[in-house]
Amino acid sequence: MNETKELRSGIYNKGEITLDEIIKSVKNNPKIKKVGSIHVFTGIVRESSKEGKQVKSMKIDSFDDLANKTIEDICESLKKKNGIIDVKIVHFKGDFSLSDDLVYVVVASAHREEGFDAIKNAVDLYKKEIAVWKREDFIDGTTKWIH
Amino acid sequence: MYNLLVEVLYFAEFKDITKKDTEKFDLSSKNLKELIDLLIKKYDPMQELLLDKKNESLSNNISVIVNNKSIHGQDVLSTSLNEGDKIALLLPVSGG
Repeated sequence: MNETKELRSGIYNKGEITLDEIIKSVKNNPKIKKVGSIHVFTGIVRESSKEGKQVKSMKIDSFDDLANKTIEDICESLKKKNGIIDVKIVHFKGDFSLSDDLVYVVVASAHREEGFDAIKNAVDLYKKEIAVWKREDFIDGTTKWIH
Repeated sequence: MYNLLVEVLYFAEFKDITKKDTEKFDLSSKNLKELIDLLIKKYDPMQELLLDKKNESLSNNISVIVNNKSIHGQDVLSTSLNEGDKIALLLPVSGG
């Protein structure tokens, strides 16, 4: 990967980019000297559903055009907040095993307080606004799309 | 000879039901209602997803997107469609 090129937030195929690449992209931000903390959220596949059913695997589907636009809007909106220098959201799609990485949110902020707030906001927003759906495949052979 | 050819984009449950990413439909009228009727006729399980409990109108859970733009209003089913429109019927999202 070219480290001088800014990494695009949005939808990627499973494993297409790494968390390390995202952090490197953030550290290449021209305003990096204003940053005092980099915050990272990683969403991974849990072994049980909200109802307590045993999950075997997960599928993520996305409407890329809409999801990419919404992710971009969320990042731009958060970057307007005081003390937020950079925000990257990368959501993977495809077939996932337990503990596989599903989503990365990386926030670079001047001070830690703004960063903690922004990362929570980013996660809350992508969970309810981006055109992504997840299907839990259970060990009993049943499946369920989560809404 | 086609009347009005539109393309439906399938996601999540709709992709599981149809086993397709997209599908083209030929409409004789020019509104969304005919497309919904055709989908339900071709794929039985779609009725429960697309219609309300009385099977009279579109379920409140469904968002209609035409050419990447959300369609709002009281009477979504009467939305006019044009040749080549890409239509997506979306259920509530659930990011990972």
